Amino acid sequence: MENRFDTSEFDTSNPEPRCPCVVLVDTSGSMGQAVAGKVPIEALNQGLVNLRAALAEDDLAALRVDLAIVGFGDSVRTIQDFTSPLDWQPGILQAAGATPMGAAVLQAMDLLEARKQTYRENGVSYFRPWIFVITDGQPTDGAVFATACKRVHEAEAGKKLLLFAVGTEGADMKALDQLSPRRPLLVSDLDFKGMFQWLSASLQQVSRSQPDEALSLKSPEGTLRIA
Amino acid sequence: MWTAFGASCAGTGHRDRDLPCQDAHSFLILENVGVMAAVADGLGSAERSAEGARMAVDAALARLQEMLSIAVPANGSGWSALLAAALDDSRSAVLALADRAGAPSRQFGSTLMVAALTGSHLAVVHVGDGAVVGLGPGGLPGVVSGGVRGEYANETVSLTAPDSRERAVQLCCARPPRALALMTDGVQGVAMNMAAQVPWAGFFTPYWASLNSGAAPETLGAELATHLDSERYRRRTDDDKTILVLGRAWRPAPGDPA
Repeated sequence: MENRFDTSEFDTSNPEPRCPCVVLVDTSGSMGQAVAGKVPIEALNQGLVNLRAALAEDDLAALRVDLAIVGFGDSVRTIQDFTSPLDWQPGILQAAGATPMGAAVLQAMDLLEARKQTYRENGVSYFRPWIFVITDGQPTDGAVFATACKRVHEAEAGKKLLLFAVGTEGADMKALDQLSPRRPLLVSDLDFKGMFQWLSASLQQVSRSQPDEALSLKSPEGTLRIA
Repeated sequence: MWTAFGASCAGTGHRDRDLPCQDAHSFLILENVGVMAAVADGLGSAERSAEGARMAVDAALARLQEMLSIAVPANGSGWSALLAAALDDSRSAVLALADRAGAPSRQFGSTLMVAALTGSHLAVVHVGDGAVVGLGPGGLPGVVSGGVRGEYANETVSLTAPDSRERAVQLCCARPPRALALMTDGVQGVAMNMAAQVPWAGFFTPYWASLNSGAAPETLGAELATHLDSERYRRRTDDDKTILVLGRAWRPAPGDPA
């Protein structure tokens, strides 16, 4: 039977809301040194490929997740600026240099602020940004790292972002604990697979959330409830 | 002749998680006054928001009915005060519901839009997201209220929030549109450009036309419910969807005196 409302035309001009996420990866020299036969940077490179694949397979996440990648090693470098998982090309990360984690976190926060400004100028709505830090070591930029910790906690308190920290065995979990308002995650045996599965599943969940919907993210260490 | 019709439809995202439709709507036609309408969108984060949304809508309309049976406001400030009272009553009723249930009020959180459309005035109060769109002169729609969103796409203002009254949109005008549509955010994204707050005229055409169709509100409501559950909507949103349309038929119906 004909429905009189089926002639109602849809406005198709609204852009999809975006879910910005900066993945901060440790590319310091130690990431290139094999541990029990495995090279951390190689495991990480594979993990990033898996992350991209998982997000690109999900139609809605592919449209909404906006991923950037920043490396910190011999310098802090934006390896991939914000883009859809479909266009994301992290390349193959090389390991060299120290661990300027504080500077990297500050750069990620600046990138997110600039990205939000771009969204606003283009009428794009967005979800709370994420920073995801992965390291095998300890920050080598002490004073800058302290500033970064302070800024992260202030931003989290103001609901400006969500930061998740992940350390491999041997990472300075105490430093990560100072940086992250929630308990840092420990990855054993360089098994980044589960961690990136969690990240992609969580971003898929965020990119579907409705107004004022609290998120229950199943993390490897239990359920994180984010209001 | 004043008329209205509406429908609420559970989104696929809610069905997948065994959640009920958390939207609620209702209207009240007072032939000598106009149409009073209310729509609420229960928050996804609130466990009992379907109950809260229902209570918010019913309490607002009950207050309007009660006050209008005593006196009909003669001017804009009177209508504004009446709608503000309806908002306060609605919020109090939801808080009381939570209190009786022994549960935190935020579990019953929802948005709320209340509109009074008469021959002389349009008054609206609006907490949270969703939109109120009017049929303007020349047959073009215009946004009456685009609601209030938070910074993030998944943030809004709840009626149960302590500052909901301060953050509510309240307006009243003495040149009312001929017709009005209230919609929750599940529909808003396909009915208007959100950034520019410009409604898509072609979206509304069959809605305005239906006010003049002479069809019963129940018939229109049932047809609208089927439409909102169509594949076309499912492809665009998995959220609950509500539209409530009200106004006065402005073409004489067959058999009416000329």
